[in-house]
Amino acid sequence: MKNFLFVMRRPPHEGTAVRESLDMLMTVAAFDQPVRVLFLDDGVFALKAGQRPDVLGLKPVEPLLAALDFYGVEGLWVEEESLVQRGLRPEGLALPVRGIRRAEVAGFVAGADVVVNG
Amino acid sequence: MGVLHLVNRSPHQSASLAQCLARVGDGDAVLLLEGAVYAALKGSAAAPGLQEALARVAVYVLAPDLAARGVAAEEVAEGLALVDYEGFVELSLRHAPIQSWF
Repeated sequence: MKNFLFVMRRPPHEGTAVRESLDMLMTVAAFDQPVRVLFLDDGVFALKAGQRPDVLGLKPVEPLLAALDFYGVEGLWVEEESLVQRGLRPEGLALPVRGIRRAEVAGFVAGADVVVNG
Repeated sequence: MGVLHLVNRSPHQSASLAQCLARVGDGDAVLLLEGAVYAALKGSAAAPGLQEALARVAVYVLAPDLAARGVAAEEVAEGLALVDYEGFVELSLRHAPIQSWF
């Protein structure tokens, strides 16, 4: 048993990176490994409410994020400073996520056995 | 046993080095490789941030990636340590977990 931490730093709708990371994440979770997800930097844009990727003919990411609970993912965290720098607010997110301060990130990462760059 | 942070993008093209340094913990290590080795040049715009980080973390630079880019050891800023591939493996064994900022 290993504690996995997926650190999501890429913006959505630019290639398939975010979807591929979520596929990997769900695979790990399906094998009953503890999984946490941390959204940092441009990765926080994946959480924004009201996204319409269908306008560009792209598939939405939000249903995948909403399904993570069903896969037994321990939780979603978002760095508060990343939100503020990008003009986003916690109430403008599509999903309930826990806030974490930048100063707490190092300890959060150090507590994982495996860190996946999502 | 601190975290080993891997950064591979030039600081002049990507914010990933600064984003990494903003989240390192005391006793962590940062390894600059591929395009990120340009951050190690004396006088680089990234140098002040790296010098500040040295108070809390060790910063390593992958020597083969410097050589490939024509950067001599004398051109590397004070306080940064050069490692070869064996040193990279050793760092990987001495730290956990490993976080990539690619």
